[in-house]
Amino acid sequence: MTFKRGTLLEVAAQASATLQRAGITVAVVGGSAITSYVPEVYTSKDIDFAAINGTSRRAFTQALAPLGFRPRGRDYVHPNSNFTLDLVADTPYVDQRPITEFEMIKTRYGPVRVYSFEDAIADRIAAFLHWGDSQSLDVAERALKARPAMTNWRRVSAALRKLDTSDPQAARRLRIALRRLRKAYI
Amino acid sequence: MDALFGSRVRTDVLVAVGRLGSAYVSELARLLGKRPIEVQRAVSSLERAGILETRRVGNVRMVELNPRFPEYQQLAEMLLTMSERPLYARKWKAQRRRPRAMGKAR
Repeated sequence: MTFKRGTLLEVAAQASATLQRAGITVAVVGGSAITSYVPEVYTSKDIDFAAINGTSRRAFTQALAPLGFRPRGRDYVHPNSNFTLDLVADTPYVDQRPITEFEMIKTRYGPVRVYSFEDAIADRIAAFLHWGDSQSLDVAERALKARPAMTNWRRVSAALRKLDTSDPQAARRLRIALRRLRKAYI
Repeated sequence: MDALFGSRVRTDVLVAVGRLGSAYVSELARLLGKRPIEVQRAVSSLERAGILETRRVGNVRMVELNPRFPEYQQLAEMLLTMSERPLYARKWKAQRRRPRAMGKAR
């Protein structure tokens, strides 16, 4: 098994297939989901997996062992891979909303479950809303700019409007984000 | 515009606090490219004016907009809008504020 020149999706696909053989179903979430769609915009070196049917860290570690990934801190590292793996959750959430539907992206190593593009964008914007993380807003904006033809604005907008804006500061930030993303989309 | 809030430093500090929600003085100084003492002076005068408030968290003093300021909501809205101006936007474009889980390598 060689990972040296593998893309994030290719490494994720191989890990997903290995985990699936052990009965662990995973999806790529967080910043690595953005990289899956627009690697030129955001380069995550950390593949965040959610075990959508649940698992334990021990079972996850054992399942990854045949592939050569070993735990280091909370990450899993491979001597021939530029990417580290992380088990971040069981049911992933974008803000307060549990995510149960994913895109299946095909690779030469098999399919990988990934946040939909809209949920990946909403996940970044949630970081801007609640932590004031401008880097996430910038990534979301560049991601939209990079693939306007493949993006349905109504779906993006709908995903953003499901974010928690009960805090007035989050509501203000959402207005800024919507303005910026709409402009990037056009 | 520079002196909208009395001086360039005061304006910059307010816009940065409006953008970040809360920040500590050395963080503001680094972001704005100012000396911490300049920022500290601006924060103190804005605190005396009732626009900002500070509170100690551990060893750092966090700076925030004062929610009891009568026009707090309008001010917060305006500062956030101002923070999108190109002059300011590049300062926080790459600013990571989301938490990183313990034990994460990067």
